[in-house]
Amino acid sequence: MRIKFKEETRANIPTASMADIAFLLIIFFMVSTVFRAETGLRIVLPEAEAARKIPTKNLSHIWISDEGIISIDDALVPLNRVSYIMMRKKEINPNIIVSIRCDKNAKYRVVEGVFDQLQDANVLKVSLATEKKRG
Amino acid sequence: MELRKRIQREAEIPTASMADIAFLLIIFFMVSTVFSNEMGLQIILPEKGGVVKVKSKNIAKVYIDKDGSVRINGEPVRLGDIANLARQMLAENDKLIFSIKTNPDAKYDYLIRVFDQLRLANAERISFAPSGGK
Repeated sequence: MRIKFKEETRANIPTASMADIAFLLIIFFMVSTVFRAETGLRIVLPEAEAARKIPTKNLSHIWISDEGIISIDDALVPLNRVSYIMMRKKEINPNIIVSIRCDKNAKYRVVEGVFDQLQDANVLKVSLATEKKRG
Repeated sequence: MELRKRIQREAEIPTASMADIAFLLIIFFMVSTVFSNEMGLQIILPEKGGVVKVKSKNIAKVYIDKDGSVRINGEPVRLGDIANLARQMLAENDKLIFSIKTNPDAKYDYLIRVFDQLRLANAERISFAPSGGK
């Protein structure tokens, strides 16, 4: 009687397509990455429970520090220039939405001034950036 | 004369480390990705010059003072009670407009808190009255 030798089967994990999977993920992350374009000012946002997500499309930021310093596109701007800058932004993109990122200790006086300037520029869609309050 | 047979060499690109490179790049992009989750309260400012007359009974005057104390129609209200009060007022009169007047020296935070409370009460019509402190 002949005994057949058992053939040893080797465990094999196919790795040929691993690179494909990896590249797929790369492409996903590359597309979804948005490098922070502006650093803005150092601020602490107020908290609100009713805060909603703001669509990032058409969004432009105005930063207001607690001392009332205003920054747009990383340039410090005096209050009376805000209207002119926003007007030019509106010409480039008529659907512009302005996100006011204002420090919670800023005085209302400055915010009101910015509202006024935005109205002058006829930029009326505004969102007040806040943190979402938990609990 | 004997001719030597040419050995045909196979060209080969080593692909074993390609996955490593790809994963390295993945990790880089994963770390540097910031999913934008900007939160905020959206408002639409009125057009300049467009003055709309509103019946005074449809206006609730909200006044925020320098120290953060809030008054609605002259009566002092605790911050946490604003939402409930606003809900009651809206139930009585659904055309009610909340006109928020803020002391120019008050902190922005106070305004946001009051505004937040009104939004929680589903108040759609909120206006910012000029503070008169230019």
